[in-house]
Amino acid sequence: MTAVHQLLVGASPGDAVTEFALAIRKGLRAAHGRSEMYAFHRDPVLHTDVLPADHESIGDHSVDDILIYHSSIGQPETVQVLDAWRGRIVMYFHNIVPFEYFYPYDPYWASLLALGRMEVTVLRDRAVLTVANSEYSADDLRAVGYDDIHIIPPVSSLYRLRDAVPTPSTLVHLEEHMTYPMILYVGQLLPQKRVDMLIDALHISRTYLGLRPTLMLAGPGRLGRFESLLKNKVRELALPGVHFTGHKNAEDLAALFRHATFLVTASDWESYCVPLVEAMSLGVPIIARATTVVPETLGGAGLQLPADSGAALMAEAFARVANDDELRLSLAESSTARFAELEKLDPVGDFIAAIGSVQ
Amino acid sequence: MTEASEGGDGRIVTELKRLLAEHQASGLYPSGMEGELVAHVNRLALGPSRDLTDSIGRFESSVRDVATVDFSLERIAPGSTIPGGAAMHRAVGRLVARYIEGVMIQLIEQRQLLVAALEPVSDVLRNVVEQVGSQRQSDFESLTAELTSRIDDLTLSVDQLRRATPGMPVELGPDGEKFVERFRGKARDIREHYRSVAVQLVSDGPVLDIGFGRGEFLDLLASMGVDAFGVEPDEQLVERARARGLHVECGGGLEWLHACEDDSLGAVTLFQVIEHLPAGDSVELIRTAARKIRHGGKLMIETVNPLSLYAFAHAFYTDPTHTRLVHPEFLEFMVEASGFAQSHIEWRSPPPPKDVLEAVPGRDAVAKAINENVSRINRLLFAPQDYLLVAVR
Repeated sequence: MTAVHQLLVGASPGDAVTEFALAIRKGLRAAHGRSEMYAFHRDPVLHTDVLPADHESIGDHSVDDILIYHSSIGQPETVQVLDAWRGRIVMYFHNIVPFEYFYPYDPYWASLLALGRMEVTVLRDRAVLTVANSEYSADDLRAVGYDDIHIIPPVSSLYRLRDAVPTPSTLVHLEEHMTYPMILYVGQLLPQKRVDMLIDALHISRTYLGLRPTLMLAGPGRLGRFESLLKNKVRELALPGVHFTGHKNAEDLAALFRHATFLVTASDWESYCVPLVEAMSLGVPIIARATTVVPETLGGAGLQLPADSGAALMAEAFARVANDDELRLSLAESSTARFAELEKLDPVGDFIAAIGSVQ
Repeated sequence: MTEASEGGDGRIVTELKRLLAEHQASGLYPSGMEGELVAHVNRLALGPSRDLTDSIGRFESSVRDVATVDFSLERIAPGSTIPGGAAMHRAVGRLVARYIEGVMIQLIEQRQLLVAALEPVSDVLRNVVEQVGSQRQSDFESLTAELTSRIDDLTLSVDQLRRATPGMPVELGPDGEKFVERFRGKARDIREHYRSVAVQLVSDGPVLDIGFGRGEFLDLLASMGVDAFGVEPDEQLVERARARGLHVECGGGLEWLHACEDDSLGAVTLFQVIEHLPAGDSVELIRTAARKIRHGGKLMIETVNPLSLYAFAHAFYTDPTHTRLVHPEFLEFMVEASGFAQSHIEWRSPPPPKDVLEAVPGRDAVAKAINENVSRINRLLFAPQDYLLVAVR
């Protein structure tokens, strides 16, 4: 029987790509197929579950075997591994952040992003099946010559946060200590996410519009220099109410979402924004700049500000949503309605079916 | 929230924009506020380090301290622990007051000179730091531009490499058709050339013809009522064949072969195709065909004959997309190893008689010896240009 393995650059728990790959592997194994995950960088938690991406681990395989490559960043060894793979290759393109965002903070990371784009071009003729995480990403693939692209979002569990029991102590802490409105941002603190614009908008809404908001920035830093920049900015603006929570587990996140007045994203660039889906799963109102894939993910949900909006318009939106109960309710209902549409999707099932079509 | 969103142009967004404009016009927001905030981030990202800015701040604070701390006689303590000491201090103070005042006036003058000298230093330091910051910004922008340009170059190189890699298609554009006509021959002639081969497949449908080119062989099979379909990577050729009513698809032969059910094909044919493929693909193709062809079905592979030096001089190098010659013994070995029950070679396309060395007339020993050598040379130089491997599963 044909084996279907997966290759990731990095595997860590909670990461959307990793979680989706784990769900695919579970589905494939349930169908009594041979299926392994390989990664160049493995979180210690996954050391026994995900194998190292080297020739020794991947070992012997037949020309009929399939390797799903999750493309999200470049890795110097990727092309070597894929070149040595005699079987077929499936390209799952999660898109790659434009390198310019990272260059000022981490030139090496920027170079890996640039390399990732090169890999995608080089692998075009070897892919027997191409999958993109969104229509937006599919357009990027078409631009370098791919065609016949399946669109499957990397959502392994739509109910992850809805099923999680919010940490009681976190809920109490939020209730007692956070000022209204509590604005929630969930995601890594990376330059393209424009967390700096959220801080500016908070500053404007507090200084000129009379709000006393709390801004919860829930996500790991990843880039030390950028995280320091954000903290310096908060300090130099003498801005109270900004909290850097770092990485949070599902239970704490559930508490944050349930207490949040609304979720916000000012991101310049997204290829698939999981926190938006999580907010919708809990009926949380959303304010977002309508950039890249955001309109595709939100559909008709949320208050979508124009892609070229600045911090001032965002601050006006903060004040309006915080002070308008009817609008907030309407935004919450729009989140719930959009989630009902997303519930009809079965991304893992669709992916396994797509693999079946080339097996 | 359809009304509010609508691509960011809904009613509420319009209201927010109007409110923002009003706030800006009323002076609620300082002019240039957003620009200042963006510049703030850029300064933090690209400007001097926080340590350096802090050091300048401390320096300026120290200068301010020097400027503000005043001299005063009241700060000279008059008291004493010695009995009668305070009276003595006062008396001595009165005696030396004139001198002390003179010294203090000079100290104050010196302090003023020192502050006046240090204040420009602070300005110079700030200017230097700002210049360093803008230089870093400029360096970053030029480096980003350079990196972008290098990536464009690399993309171009990859494209060139792809084109130069053996086995990759060579784009002849509109001249491709003329090329095929000139070096492969007219379609009518090709059909005649392959008629004897097609006859061998009349009861072997369905036939998969990989790399059907102009579709001459598929035309032949259709005329004989043989169920056949073809696969070809060139979209234009596919469209033309489809317009003639042939059952064809665009794509790679190996992929299509993989997609076929096991034991579902009566025959697989490749005419002048395998010399275009990487060696690994040829091997995989034969192994896969062995699974897809039913028992008794045929695999036919025709290619340029590497045993003919004449073929090197003519057929092989006239087509720049040819990758490698495949030895007939290797092909025979591969089909046998892949499970085909029997195979044989048919030699095809002999060089024109005018190019072949002629035997000398006569039957004597000398003529016989010469003709024996002529025959050997002909076998080496003028062997048939192509061979057809027929393997039966």
